[in-house]
Amino acid sequence: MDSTQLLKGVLDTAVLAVLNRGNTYGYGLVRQLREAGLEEVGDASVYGTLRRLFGGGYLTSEIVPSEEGPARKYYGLNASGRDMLESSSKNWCEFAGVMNRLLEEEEA
Amino acid sequence: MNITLSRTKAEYLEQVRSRLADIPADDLDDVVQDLETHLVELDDAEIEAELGAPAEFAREFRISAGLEGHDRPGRLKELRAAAKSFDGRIENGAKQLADLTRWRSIRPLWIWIRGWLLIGTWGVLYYEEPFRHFPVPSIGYSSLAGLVLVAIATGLSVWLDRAPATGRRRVGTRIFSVAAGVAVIASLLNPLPDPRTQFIDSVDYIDRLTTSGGRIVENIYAYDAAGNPVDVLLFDQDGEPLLTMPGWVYDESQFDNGQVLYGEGAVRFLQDGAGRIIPNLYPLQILRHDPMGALQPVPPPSFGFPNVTAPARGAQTSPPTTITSEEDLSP
Repeated sequence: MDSTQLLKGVLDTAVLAVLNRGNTYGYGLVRQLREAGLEEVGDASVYGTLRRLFGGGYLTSEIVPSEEGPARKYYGLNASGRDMLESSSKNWCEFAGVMNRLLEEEEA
Repeated sequence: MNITLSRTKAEYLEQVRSRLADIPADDLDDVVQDLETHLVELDDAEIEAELGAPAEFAREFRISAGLEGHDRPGRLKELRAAAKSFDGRIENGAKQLADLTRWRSIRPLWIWIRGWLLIGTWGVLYYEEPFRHFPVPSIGYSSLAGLVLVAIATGLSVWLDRAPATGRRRVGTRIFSVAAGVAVIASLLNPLPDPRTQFIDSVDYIDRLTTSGGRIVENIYAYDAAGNPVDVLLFDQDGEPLLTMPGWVYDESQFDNGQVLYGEGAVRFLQDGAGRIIPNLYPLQILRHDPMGALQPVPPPSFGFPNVTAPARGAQTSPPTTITSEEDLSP
């Protein structure tokens, strides 16, 4: 499925959901999103979303030295981020519910 | 752990950096750092397929980060972007050089040289021949100060090398990189004197007065018959002033109020009423640097005055009575 257009509206929620599993760095976040099925997600979009969420005060960051390459900046959720994720999840579920009912009625 | 990116990756990172140079510095540093860790995971051939062209990456990043308002930089921001790009190239060059030295297993030597170059740069800027005192540059004419500063700079260089180049350490690393580059360029523009030049200088000594033992006569002390020092004007058999210094010492362009620097000190000539120096008035006033660096007159020799018999009155043009061998030898 070409989810490019859909992603633009929900990428914030997707990023917050991955970070809710545990702290990770930019490239790790991209990989987890793709492994979850969001293969069309653009790398630059993820990094831009991270910058915006971090600038909005929803994320924590920590530089961790790496044996395999340069030091990585790990991102995680703070209290505001978790609140935002909870709110976004609720909105998404309501929206998805509406869409599901509409599509079920269409099929019926 | 410091990793040096391949040329392709470094250029990609640099292009993205230059296209985002107008966004807030913290945002730029963060995205560059994120992108650098991403590039490490990719092969060179995968970069554009995975991330898109640098311009596309930058555009997508701006949109998703909510920084679209920054996509039309003004003239000042363009200059700032160019400066940042130049700075990034220097940093990349330093990283590649560091990687090269690591490959040759002489990284500790490079770290030492980097510290030395930082101090040597000041020598290049303020002194004409700082590298003549290799390996310790002379700072303020003091080798001890040079040694201490080199030790401090070397310690700083090692400290900078021990952690990722972020924040202040990045600034310090850039200072080292720029200083090293300036030192190399300045030394190329101001090379050490050609040894042949020194050889030509030595030719000047061939025509100078020497003693019977071959030692160069630098100064002449005259005494009257009573053993009192006197000032004398000396001429040769053709009436030419008798000179003891190298020819260039008498070059008027060298004079500073009748004084010219010479050897480890200076020569101070007396001047006539017209301001011309009197080159053959002996003894010359020769000065040397004392331990504090001040010029001090060289004292006259301490040998005892030879015991000769005074010449007869009115016989100034005749040999002294005690030196009559020439008359005795006459046919």
